[in-house]
Amino acid sequence: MRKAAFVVVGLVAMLMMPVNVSASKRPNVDVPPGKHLTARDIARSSARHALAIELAQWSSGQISASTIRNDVASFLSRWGPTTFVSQRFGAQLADTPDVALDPGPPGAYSLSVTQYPETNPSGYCQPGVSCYCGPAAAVSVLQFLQPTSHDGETLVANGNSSSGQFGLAGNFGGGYPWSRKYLETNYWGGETPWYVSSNDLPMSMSFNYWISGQYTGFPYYANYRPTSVSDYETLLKSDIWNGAAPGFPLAGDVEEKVNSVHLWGHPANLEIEHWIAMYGYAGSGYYTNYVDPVAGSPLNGNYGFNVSAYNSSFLSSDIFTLVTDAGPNGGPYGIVW
Amino acid sequence: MLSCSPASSGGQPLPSASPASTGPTIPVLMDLAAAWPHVPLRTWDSSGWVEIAITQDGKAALGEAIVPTEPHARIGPAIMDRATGKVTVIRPFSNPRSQVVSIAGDNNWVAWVEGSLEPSFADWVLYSYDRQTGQIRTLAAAPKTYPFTPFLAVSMSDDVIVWSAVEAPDGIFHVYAVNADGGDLRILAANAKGPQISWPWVVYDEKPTTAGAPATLARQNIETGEVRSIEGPADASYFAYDGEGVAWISADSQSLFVQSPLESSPSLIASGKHLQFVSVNQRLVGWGQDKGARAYDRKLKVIIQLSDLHGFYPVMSAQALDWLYQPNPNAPNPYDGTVWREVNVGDLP
Repeated sequence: MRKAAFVVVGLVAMLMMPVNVSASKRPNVDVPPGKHLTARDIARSSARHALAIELAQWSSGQISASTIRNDVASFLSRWGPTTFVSQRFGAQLADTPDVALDPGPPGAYSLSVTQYPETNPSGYCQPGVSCYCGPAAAVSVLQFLQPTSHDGETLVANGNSSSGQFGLAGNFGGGYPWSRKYLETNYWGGETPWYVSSNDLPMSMSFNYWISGQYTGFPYYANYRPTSVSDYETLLKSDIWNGAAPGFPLAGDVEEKVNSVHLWGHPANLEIEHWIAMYGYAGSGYYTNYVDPVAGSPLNGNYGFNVSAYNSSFLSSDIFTLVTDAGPNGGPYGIVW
Repeated sequence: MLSCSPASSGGQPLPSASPASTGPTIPVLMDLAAAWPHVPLRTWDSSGWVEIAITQDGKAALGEAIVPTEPHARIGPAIMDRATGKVTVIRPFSNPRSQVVSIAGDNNWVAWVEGSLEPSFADWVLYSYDRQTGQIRTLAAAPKTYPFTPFLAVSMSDDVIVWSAVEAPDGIFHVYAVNADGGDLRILAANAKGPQISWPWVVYDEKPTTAGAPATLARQNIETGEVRSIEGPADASYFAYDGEGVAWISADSQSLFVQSPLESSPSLIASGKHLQFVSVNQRLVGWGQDKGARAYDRKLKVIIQLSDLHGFYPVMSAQALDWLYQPNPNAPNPYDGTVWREVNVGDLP
């Protein structure tokens, strides 16, 4: 479904694997020049991760309000606002220097993200294959954050996301329908890559470009492979909660191995690679809520897959396993946060 | 038609009340040792074996052999002797991306579906393997020009294999049957899918004839062609048929019912979150849910916790029950170091 390649951006050293380019007749479409990751981008991502950990520590009383206040101010001063670090959040902290802040994030929080069924345009997916899980998950995230792109593109018309999925897959931008402006799904034969190169991370860069017109611009989504369950829970909570302002959904690139954990309604005897969008958590991060693009698609309801659009009570430890596992066809991948 | 006509499925659902109960009491939940204290349990390392089905007599498990070490490359469709744990590969995959999508069999035949285009496996091919002669036959395959069927499951009884597929641009599911030796390929029903056979009856899911009506189950006598509707199940997310009755899970995946015999009223036997992949025999009903793999003992009238692995579900036949199990309660990753556990129905109290 996607490329067997991965990247970790941020705290961990860049790890690269060659892209599994199997198609012999790729269209001659260049990667937009703006798709380029600098050392500063990596440093920002690392700082953002460190602040997310501090936020969790503040929430559990391990560090003081003054520490988080100062560090948020320092972060904003150096890096500006990002997904969960906003001027509003910084101002909220600054306005109450002598008041005991209500530590957040709360125990449970969800965003009003809408699920969209993955489509399977025959010209771009392999015949019969429902391959737009990546574009569908991306539409769920972006439709929530900003329905119209920086360049004026839209995703959903009358509740239908077909054109939006197709656009993100390759119909938006030069060289369409093989454009590499966003997810590059069509270009890669119906697979939405987790990683193409150290400068080309389609999902996270698409989110950023859609919103700010810069691949490494606001809100600074990044590819990341969590190092532990608590690491994943920390990032999930910080982005979803966002200081009680409308938060930032995450995307997850999962590898379902045989005899290992599968998403609800996925047959456990099959190896499956898939994209989902995470829209909430419960149990202080113990559980993840996610939308599954299989629901409502032709793939669903055939006594193999039987998937709900909105899924709650899924163990975050199992999400961690899914985004860090490797099988014979692919992985490990990670989260886009 | 499996066209690309997606639409928003709407906003997130509001919290809903528990499904209405049709029975007085949900059976109690027990652990295995308490429910079946003296039942012999066999265990087999899961690192080289993916179990998908069991022959009705319980002698052989059917599935896929995998390389025991990471990343567990797939080897091919295989048969495991449930008494010894010996795995015999029917034949290795020619395409390393191929997977055993579904499999069924008995002492004479094994039928399996191979596909490589996950997640739909729309490039499916159905094979049979003669366990006496070793001959492998290709019984059916997705149309080459444009395959339409997302996922294909087979069921087998008395050397007859049934499945459902879409084989034309009209998008209509048909239920097919073929003898395991490749003879007498025929269409049993149109606008129907998910068939399960217990000779001579084939139970399948019928598409509603009017908009807004629920999908219902029907059964067809494969010898006479007689078709009877099954009153009770509606919009089942999963169902299983054992030749006498059906078990099914509600559309919201929160309720599990058993209706045996078919003319009886349904009984609610379990409720919870994410109930899925139900199976049934004369003694047991198996399924997976958020709390793990469970089975309902129809004689003792209790629910047994088989495994705590979330979402996992047991594999079952008339005489056997197998499931994936984590023997180490402190395992850092509960899916590492698992074993397949086995019991024979004849050993149950």
